Amino acid sequence: MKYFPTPVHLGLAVAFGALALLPFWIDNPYVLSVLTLAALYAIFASSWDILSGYIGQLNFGHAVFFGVGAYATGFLGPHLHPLLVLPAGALVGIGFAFLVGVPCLKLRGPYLSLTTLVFPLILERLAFTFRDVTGGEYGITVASPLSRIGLYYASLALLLVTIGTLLAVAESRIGRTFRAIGDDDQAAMAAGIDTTRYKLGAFVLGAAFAGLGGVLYAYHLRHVGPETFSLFTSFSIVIMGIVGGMGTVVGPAIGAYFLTLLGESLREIETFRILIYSAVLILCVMLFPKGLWGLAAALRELVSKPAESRSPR
Amino acid sequence: MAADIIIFGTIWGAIYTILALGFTLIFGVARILNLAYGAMYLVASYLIYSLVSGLDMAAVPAWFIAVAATCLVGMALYRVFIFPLRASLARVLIVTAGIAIFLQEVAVLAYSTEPRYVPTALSGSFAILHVRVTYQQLVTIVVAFALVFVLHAFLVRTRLGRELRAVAQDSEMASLMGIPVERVYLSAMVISTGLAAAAGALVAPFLTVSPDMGWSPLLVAFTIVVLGGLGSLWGTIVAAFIVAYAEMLTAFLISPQLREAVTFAIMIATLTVRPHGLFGKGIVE
Repeated sequence: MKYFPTPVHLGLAVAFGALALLPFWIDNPYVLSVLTLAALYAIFASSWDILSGYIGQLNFGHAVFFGVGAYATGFLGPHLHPLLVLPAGALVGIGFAFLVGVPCLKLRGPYLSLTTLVFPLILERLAFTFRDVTGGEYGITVASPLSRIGLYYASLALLLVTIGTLLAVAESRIGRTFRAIGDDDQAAMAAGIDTTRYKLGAFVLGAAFAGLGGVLYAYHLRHVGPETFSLFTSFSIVIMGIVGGMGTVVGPAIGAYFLTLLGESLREIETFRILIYSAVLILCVMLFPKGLWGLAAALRELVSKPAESRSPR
Repeated sequence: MAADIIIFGTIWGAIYTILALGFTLIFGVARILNLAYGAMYLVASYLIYSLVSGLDMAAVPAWFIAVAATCLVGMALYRVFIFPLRASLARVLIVTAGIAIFLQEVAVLAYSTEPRYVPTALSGSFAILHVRVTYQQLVTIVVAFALVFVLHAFLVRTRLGRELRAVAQDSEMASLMGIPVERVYLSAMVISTGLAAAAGALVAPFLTVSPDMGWSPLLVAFTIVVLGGLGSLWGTIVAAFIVAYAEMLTAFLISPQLREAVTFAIMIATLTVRPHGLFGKGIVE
């Protein structure tokens, strides 16, 4: 089979090229740190998208998966080589994917959303309560093995791997099956698809990348605390995914960059950040349910429409 | 210790009953899972704080004004945000989550994250079994039970109550019978908001009021509805007391910080082991 790059792949290549060259152009530690954070959120948002966007089961508790990755870094960081901490984060994420995924398998729609919502809250309470292990509200200090610039490139590389893998999965037979389950899971089941296995698979796939991202997240913040499991952490991933455009892998990553940069550019009015996030979410759901990605697609259609109407049908 | 658990379990059981009834009403009648439900409790609590602390209003009129004003907020939210998205359960879920976060942030900006105390009109207390119970808590229990009886009578005896039940059972058939379904949905939203507001305004004087207080009542109400099953008044009441006593047992015997974690564990266990709840029809199809 011959490979033809699609416009999405070309766009991604350009975007990643630009992001990789950016530090040579802007030599500002603050900007670098914001861009690292944006890349990490993009990893969380696009790994969230497999279950939420493709299978259509809105996960309101994605923070569990990168949160446990971050806590694993806090616990293991001082004892293991960083290259071993990364797979450990992924494994812990996968472990929790089973823990959350199995009770959720029978559930659909809002029941799944609310059930996934409470898992991080339980972990948050546990982190507060068992303070001699978790450090309570102060959390654990993490030493980063990488320099700021090293961490930026590590995050960018992980984002590239995440998007690349997830896009490959999404464009494969498995991705089409995910979509079929999302469109009508009864019909998919009737067609002989083991929906339970695919749903659990989507949990595991998303959680593995979130767990990996969680390790870098802890290195970036140099700290991990119970606020990682807070309601708003989980909701901000949902907001990024929806604003970017669900079911596209790339859309949620764009949403993550958009909202992180928007939030930072409004730094002076930091107090309004959450207010703006929620207002953007409400506007988006009311007016552009397909998010920025859908908006871009609609614009492209609008531009190409005259050409198309001329072509014979 | 045992007396504490029994008495505070009863107080919270009464409050949780009101909260769960309001949540199950809008969900059962209109199939709307309103994540902004807890935010209505929040709005009512801050309103009563502003009225009593800021304007020096007496407790009883302040309570009625706070509940009525919150009902108007609920009605406006329904018309502007929920009604246009009604066809999609997922979009309603997202937009109400957005509203809940938005209102929470408004509370942060208006009142800061600092917890506020609502002065109680009924100071003083008495002791049952060596447990100090304030008059405010006694009033809460009495009002909570009164509300449950009023709601029951309303659903059984009045025309609107019967319409609500008819729509809950089969909205299409109800519509064919000439019941104005859209108006019934709006009424369900207003009554549901009113119950959340009533609960918020009742507990505000013996809790602190803070911007993040709306999430716990929402998740507690959802847990109770999951446990009690949909469309069963007695199931809801029994489930509310089970959750309340389980919370108090945890709070007094293990750690008050794990109180909510137990509720969430009950939710997950019920959905995993017995998704149809203990009584009535399950909420999971």
